[in-house]
Amino acid sequence: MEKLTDEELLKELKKRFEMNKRMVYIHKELMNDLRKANDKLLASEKVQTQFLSNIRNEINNPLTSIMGLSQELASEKSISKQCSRKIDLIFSEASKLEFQMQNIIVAAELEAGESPLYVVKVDVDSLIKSVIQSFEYLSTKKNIKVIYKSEFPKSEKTFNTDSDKLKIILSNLVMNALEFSDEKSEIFINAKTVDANTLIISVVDTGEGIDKDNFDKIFGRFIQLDSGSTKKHLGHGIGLSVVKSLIDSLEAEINVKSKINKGSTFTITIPQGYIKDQMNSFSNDGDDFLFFDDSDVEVI
Amino acid sequence: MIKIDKNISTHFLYPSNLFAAKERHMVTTILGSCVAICLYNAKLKYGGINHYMLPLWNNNGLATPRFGNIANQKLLEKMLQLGSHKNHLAAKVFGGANQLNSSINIGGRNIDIALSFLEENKIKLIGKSVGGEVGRKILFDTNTGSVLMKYVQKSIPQIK
Repeated sequence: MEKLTDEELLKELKKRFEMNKRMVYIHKELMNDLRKANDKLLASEKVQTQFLSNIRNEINNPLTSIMGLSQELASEKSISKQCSRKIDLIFSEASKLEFQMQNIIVAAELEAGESPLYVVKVDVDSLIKSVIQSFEYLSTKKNIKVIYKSEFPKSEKTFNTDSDKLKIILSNLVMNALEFSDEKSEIFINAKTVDANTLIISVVDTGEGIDKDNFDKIFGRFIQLDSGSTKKHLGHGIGLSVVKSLIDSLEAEINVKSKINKGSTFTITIPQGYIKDQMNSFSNDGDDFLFFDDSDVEVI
Repeated sequence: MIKIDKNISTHFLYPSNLFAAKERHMVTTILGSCVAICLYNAKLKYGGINHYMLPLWNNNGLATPRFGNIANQKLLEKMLQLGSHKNHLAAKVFGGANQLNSSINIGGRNIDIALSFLEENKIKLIGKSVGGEVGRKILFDTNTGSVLMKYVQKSIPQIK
């Protein structure tokens, strides 16, 4: 290394300090830009979440009326055949709308952090049957056979989990399978328990399938792979993002296997939940407690 | 010996959820590598608490309070909605244990997110019990802001 005179050394040091100062300045500027972009993101996020939670009642109440009234009308005997077909249609369209609304509301609740777990003993077998039944209209219309095979041992009729959440997960998977399957095809639902502590349910369709590169994308919010004006399918891409969040809250896992034009298999693996007796389990005799009070904590 | 009045409402806070109310509640939650921030307004005598599992939302899927940056922002918003002023809030932070002894140390990153959030929003931190290798069970009195805490061993592995 060449030797520098004192003057040269000072000059070099000064130059480096200047450079350092500039770098710090640039860094600060970049940080400011980032912060601004972040604020904008948060603001748009907030608007959307508030919107979702506000519209809940505005939409739910009229929808319930439409469904209730059309059901009541359908049961009247004095109505002509043509008229009752139209009433059927009103009912089925309203129930589709209700399904989509349910997803939107569940998404809003999840995003608001107001979606606690209610773990109860669930009769999974009848829950799956009721889900299949709720889509009977759609499956008959598309002439799709839904074949359900259960492998539950007789001794284990119930499984501890959150039944509402499980129902929404299954409804979405079955709805998707029906939506993305061709007419006159088959959908298989298999359910079993492993080691008595794990519930495995798979929904298999022979529909159009998903490209492997897109496996991660499908659980994103508002993402439907085929979007735009040529979009062929119902929905707005919220279903699987809701499924993913619900799966997370059940500490479960979801697995996708799929081949283009061959069909997809969605498998969920759910661990047995704990039925908690909330406060009663809070022992306050004999255990060590740390008592925090404003007077005995460190104030920073 | 601590006695808890049976007439006070209770709430069990699950992971990825948050809770804030003007009425007095005793909120229980169990933390492993998760972190909970308790926000308390001493003037208006009410509080709120969140419970998040992962530090940052990756823009994929729903923006739920499973993620620290979302959960903290939402808890603060809720406290402000209930009539608080930011300057009147004080915070206590719990959790973030490195239970799995993993090198990823999610607990540590969860703690960082909590502390930097409080610093950014200039919220006074008046107490914390974070890190370590064992989980915690806390009981938060939203009326007094006091928090009871005890360490829990790995015997409850399902609750992170």
